[in-house]
Amino acid sequence: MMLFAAAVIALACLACFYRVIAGPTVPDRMAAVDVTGLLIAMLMVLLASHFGFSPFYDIVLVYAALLFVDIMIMAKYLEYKELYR
Amino acid sequence: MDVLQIIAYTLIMLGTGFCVIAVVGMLRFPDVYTRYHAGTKGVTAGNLLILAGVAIVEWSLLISLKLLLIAIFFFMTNPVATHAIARAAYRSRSSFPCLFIDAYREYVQRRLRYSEAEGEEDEAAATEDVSP
Repeated sequence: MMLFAAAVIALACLACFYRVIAGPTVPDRMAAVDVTGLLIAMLMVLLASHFGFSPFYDIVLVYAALLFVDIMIMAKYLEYKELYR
Repeated sequence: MDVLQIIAYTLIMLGTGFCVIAVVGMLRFPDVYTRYHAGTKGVTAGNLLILAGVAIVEWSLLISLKLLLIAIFFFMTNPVATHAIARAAYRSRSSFPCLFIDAYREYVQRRLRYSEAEGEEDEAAATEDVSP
């Protein structure tokens, strides 16, 4: 059951990666990267629960923090076209 | 299979359905802001449901508290990140042809007129001029 949910999430992640490649504008691609990262985090949680490998939960926490910082830096760069401001 | 596991797997399947619906909205909606709408709400709800289901399946104190921490983190940061992307998408002028009713532009121009009437050289207000 857990593995089935992981497979569905992985297929959804691949389908969302299409929007990263074929997005018409840059903010489309950024939102698609955000959704893809969140789905990868959920995939890691489901696989960790299925295989009983508990250090993955720490990795998911750090991955979520890095994803948030990543998205904020990309948004700031898109808004101001420079980072130091 | 007892009642707790049935509840947990129902939550996980419901969260997976939310994620799939969010991705379908991300692929099928026509412009930028509707894609934000689909992505942020659907994926946040799906993540919270999946984390609650996995926390019930694991049912140990350390792992369940860790999953609760991940859920709180997602619940706080995902709307903030999407709001930042939407603000940047508006102000970088890369998404104007899809707007029909633009209420935020009136706000920005009113702030710009106010700062000009004050006579102060506000650099932040000068960059907020979004007239195309």
